Amino acid sequence: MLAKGGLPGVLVASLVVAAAATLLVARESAGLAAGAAASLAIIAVWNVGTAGRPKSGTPQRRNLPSQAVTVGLGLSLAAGALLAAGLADGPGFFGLPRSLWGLLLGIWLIPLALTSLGFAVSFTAPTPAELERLRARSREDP
Amino acid sequence: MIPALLLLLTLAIGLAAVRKTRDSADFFVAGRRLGGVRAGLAVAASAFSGFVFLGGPGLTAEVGFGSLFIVVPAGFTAALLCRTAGRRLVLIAEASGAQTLPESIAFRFGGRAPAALAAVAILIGSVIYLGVQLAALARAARFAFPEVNLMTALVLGLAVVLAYSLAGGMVASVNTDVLQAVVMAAAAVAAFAWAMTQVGGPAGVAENAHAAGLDTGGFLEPLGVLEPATGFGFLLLFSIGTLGQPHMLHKFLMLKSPEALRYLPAVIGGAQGLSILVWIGLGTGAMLLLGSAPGNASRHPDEAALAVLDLPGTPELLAGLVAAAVLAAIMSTSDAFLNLGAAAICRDLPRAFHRERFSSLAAARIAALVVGFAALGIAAWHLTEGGLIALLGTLGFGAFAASLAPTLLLGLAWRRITARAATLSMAAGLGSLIAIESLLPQSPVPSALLAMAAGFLVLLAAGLLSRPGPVPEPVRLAMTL
Repeated sequence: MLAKGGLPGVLVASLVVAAAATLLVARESAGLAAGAAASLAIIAVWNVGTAGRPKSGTPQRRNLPSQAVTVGLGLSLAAGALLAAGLADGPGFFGLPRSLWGLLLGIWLIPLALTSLGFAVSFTAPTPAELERLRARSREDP
Repeated sequence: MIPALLLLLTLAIGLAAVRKTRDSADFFVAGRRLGGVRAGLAVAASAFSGFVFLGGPGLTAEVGFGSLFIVVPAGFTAALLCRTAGRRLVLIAEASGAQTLPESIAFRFGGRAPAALAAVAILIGSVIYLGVQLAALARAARFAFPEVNLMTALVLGLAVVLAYSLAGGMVASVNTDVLQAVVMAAAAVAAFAWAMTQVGGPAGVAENAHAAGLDTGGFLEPLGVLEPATGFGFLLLFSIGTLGQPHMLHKFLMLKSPEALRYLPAVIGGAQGLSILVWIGLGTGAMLLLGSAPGNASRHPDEAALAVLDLPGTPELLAGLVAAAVLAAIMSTSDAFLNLGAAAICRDLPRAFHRERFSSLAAARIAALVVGFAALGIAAWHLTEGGLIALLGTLGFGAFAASLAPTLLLGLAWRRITARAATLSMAAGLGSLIAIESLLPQSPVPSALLAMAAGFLVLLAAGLLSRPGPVPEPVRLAMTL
């Protein structure tokens, strides 16, 4: 089922790249590579949430708010991680380093607002009929 | 005064729950009656412990804002939990009536080995994590009452947590968690506001750091004093690793319906977001205000947060509120681990070894006592060694992440993952963690991240190489609805 979501490749690749990048501690660019790989790995894990569920594609199944949250989270994490790794050195708001603001805004506060509200809007709970079917099948096939 | 009030209130709520604890379902899953707000506050309270309230500011004083890599993933981990493993666990609980994570794993994979290994991992991690809480409690008590012996403080702390946890089980745990989450958030906001006032606001942080020479050492920059491997390693470990934390995931088995998931990320994220302010506020205060304070050189870093509140001019009300929050953080996590460890001993392991489950309340209480005393030993050893709470906390978190996160993320989503693949992955994660901790204790990459990666790789490889068996219909439905 996961394969239908096209995820194993992305997940394995991102985990391998993340591990390789984080091991390159002696290189100047290791921080940027590790930041990019870490955000990729997190988004791959985030997408496992839709794996195994009925494939979207039909208009009634397409969950646009959920897709928007995924894209927004990916962009925010990537920007935050790259800033935290020192992509744009120098002082930012209030004289504090831009790298610190990248970490606080890109990885903490923007994802907090985006995912909390986005999940509440896009969440689709199973219907009572689906839940009853689940319980009935469990009674038949314990 | 405020900490004493909190203790009394906690005991009262815990003892009131005794009447509502009639059977093992009440003891282990609070009768499966939790709505979104109560569950969210309980998750937030049990997730944030002495690790956050004492260990975090202490680590910030040592390594600067790089320590934030550990805690900022909380911005999105609540939604990540609900979207992936949490949602599927709620449906598995609906279908199977599972009261523990190993029971959920047994329902998903069948066989006995995956559930047995999960129970062992939970037992080991629970003892370590409970040990962290008791060590934090002893540090806080020693700071408040220098004349009290560290070991005496340890035993007294354990006695209070045991008193209400053993009596009221998970009902007591959840009800006290709600109170404790509110106290923690309020104290964190107050401490942050006070610390920022003392250092002159965000602009003052930069000026003070410059004056103290901390900006040239990189203390204000996330990767300033950390290796990239360490900083981003923490980010990955504390985001993906959250999917293996049983004290958070167990609460999903207590929800009264899947609809309760809708506002869970907002409640968890909001409560945790406010509590993180204590890490930033007191950590900043410890970095900038304690440098010239008398006695600072001889102080243990884990006492830095409390030392900030001991500076002249600190309002007594604030100091009391934060002390109460430290207690709340420690107790809310401790009772969760007592419960989890007890369930592993008296339900999950006997079942795995073909024995009858010890399902009585008395058995659960005796098992919790055993877990408490084992943790006491870990805490006593840790205090004797003089280590940092944050490092032992990372090990406890890592034990769960390495052993359980791969299986609970992919195993609940991908039908190809068999019982054998799950068992191999858990064994690889736990075994790798022990091996790396023993052989590479100074590795810049957090050892638990490497162990978690090993667990993922073994799970994926075993899943791809195994011949997938038929998945029972209820499991398939629980995975896909």
